[in-house]
Amino acid sequence: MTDIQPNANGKLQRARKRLRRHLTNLRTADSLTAGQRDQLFAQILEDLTRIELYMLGQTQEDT
Amino acid sequence: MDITYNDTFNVFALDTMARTILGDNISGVTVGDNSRIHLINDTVNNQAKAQAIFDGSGDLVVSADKTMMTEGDSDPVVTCADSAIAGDVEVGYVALFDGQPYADGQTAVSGGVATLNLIAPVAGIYDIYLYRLTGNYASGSVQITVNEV
Repeated sequence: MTDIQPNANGKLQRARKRLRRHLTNLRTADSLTAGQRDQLFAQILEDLTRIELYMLGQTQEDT
Repeated sequence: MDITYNDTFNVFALDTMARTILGDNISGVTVGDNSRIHLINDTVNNQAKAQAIFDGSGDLVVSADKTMMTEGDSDPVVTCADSAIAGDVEVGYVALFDGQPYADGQTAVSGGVATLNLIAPVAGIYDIYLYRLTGNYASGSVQITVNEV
C-alpha cells in the first residue's frame, strides 16, 4: 500500500483551505470571547506563515 | 501534431498521465470539448500511446472503502483490482484536491491489486486517478468527499 502524501502544491492547497475556514469562522461567529478571538488570530497567522513558507519552497511539517 | 479526443478531462490529471507515459515527447495538453495531447515527437508509437491515453480513460475500475467521510475519520483506502492490471508491476496515480494537483506517483501492483491510502485528508473533494503505465494505458478514478468536523 502506498500513502498519498501531499506534494508541495498539495500542502499549499491544504494551508489555503485551512486559512479560508478560519477566516470564515471569524466572519460568521456570532460572538467571540477575547480568548477565542486570540486563538483564531493565532491560527490565521500560522496559516499565513505556512503559505508563505510553501510558496518560498521551504519545507515545514504539514499537519 | 495534436492527438484530439471529443471529451473533457481534468487538465492536471491528463497532463500528469501524458507526461509520465510520453515524457518529453509532448509539449503539453489542452482540455475542452476537444481535448488534445500536443506531440512534439509524433512517431507512430507516440501517436498510438497518446490515443490510448484518451481511449482508455474511465476503463479501469477504481473504488474506495468510503467516498464520503468527515475529517478525523480513519484514512480512506483506494483500491484497483481491475483484471487489466493483473500483470502490471506498477500503476501510476494522480490525486487532486478541489481540482488542483495534490500528489502523484507510482504504486506497486501486488496480487493484481493496487492500493493507496489517502493520509489524513482535510475537508474538500479528492479525485484519485489510477492509470496503467504500459499496455493500453487505461485509467479510472474515484471521488472522495471529506466534510468538516
